[in-house]
Amino acid sequence: MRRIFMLGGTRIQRFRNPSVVQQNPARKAENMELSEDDVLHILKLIDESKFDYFQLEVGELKITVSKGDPIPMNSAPQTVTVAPAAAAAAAPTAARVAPAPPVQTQSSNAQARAAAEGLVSITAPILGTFYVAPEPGAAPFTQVGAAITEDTTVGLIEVMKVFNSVRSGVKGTVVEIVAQNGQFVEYGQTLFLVKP
Amino acid sequence: MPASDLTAKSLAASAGLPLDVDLIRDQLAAKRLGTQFRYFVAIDSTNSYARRLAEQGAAEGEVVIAESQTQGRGRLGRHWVSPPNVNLYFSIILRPKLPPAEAPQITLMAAVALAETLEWFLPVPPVIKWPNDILVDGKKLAGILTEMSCDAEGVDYVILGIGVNLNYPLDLMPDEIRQRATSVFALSKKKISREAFLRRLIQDLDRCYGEIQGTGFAAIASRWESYFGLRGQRVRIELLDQVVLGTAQGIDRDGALLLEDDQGNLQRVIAGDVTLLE
Repeated sequence: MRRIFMLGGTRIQRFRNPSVVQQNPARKAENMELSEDDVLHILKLIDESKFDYFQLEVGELKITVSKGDPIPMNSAPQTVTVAPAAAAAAAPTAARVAPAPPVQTQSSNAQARAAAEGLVSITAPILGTFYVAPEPGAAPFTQVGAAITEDTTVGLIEVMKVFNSVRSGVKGTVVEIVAQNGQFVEYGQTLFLVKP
Repeated sequence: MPASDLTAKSLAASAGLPLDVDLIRDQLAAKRLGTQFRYFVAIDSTNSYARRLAEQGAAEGEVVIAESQTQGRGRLGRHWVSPPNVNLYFSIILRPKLPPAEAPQITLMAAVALAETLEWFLPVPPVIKWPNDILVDGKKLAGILTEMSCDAEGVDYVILGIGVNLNYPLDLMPDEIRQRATSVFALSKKKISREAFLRRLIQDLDRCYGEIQGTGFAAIASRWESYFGLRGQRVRIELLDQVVLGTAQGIDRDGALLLEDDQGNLQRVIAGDVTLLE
């Protein structure tokens, strides 16, 4: 499974099985220069991050870093997920090297709140498009303040026309709906915060 | 008499006998699917019922079949027109040993099985529209609605819901779908045995499902590509509030649609409605 995020002119891909590092020679772009120190710094950041694969493209400059098996250079690095607009709109417009994609930042804030307030997160069991209701215009599965049990269906995630019910897995009261309806969500991203 | 009553009368006259489930079951040559049949004259939705069964622990392979559905569903609650005794509406409970991220392969597998079954009954081969609609001449012949329950560890169950327009005369279809839908009868001019069709379809699903569970997705993906009607065609991918234009290239090993956009980048599409640009 590949996870790919588009940040302005930058593409970042994340792969599941890391093991090897692969690097393309960095080329000097007209509008951006990277020194050897910069490249080493990027490598260090990637190495410390949870990303398995990173690709930066700015103009003619292209850097590909993989902690996994060698990436087939004729296909994978050129592929980009067409994520629904909600995720793309949240992306910063400038190219950036930071490993965390914006959708994860939202999730991270929620995780911080969960830790601080003793809340439990309901996370996405699969990547895809998140829906709060069974169909457009229908009442949402749940809402802030609602009491839920472990078996309550709280949302849907669609990937390739497969609809996956998101089960609460926790008994309590919904405190926050973190993900937006129609938003592209990553595996493990926080969708709801629940007070047990 | 209102037009809808007239249509109902004409449909009743053109409809065949109720399904003979014993006829399907007794001659079925399948390993995993069709272990049990639950037959209803009318039901809200076979998928909804199958989900309730699966929640209660029903085994893999159980089939829920109905002559008509009062709340037949397509994607995102779109209504699936389900008149009695002319078509097929059924759902199968699967419990695949796949990581959740690979479960979408099930829906592409079902499209391949459907296309392979339909080839026996049609004068022309059907076409698959990514990921799983079955079309002839751009009109929908069959649809698949896949619903799943999983957690991070694995898939609990998958409900594979299938609707096929079989002996449904075009002139009896509601106006709103006649321009977009077709049926085996409309294409072949022959009424077919729904039992024979369903038996073959369950056997084809059983075989293709066995392939995925056994040797993986590659062989199915290659057959899926052979039915893919949009390769090399200009298409439009409609997301919630984003539209991407490009040329469809096929699918990758996960079943995602590969699209070459107008800038020449190869993109990987996992969501959205795909339509052919004229």
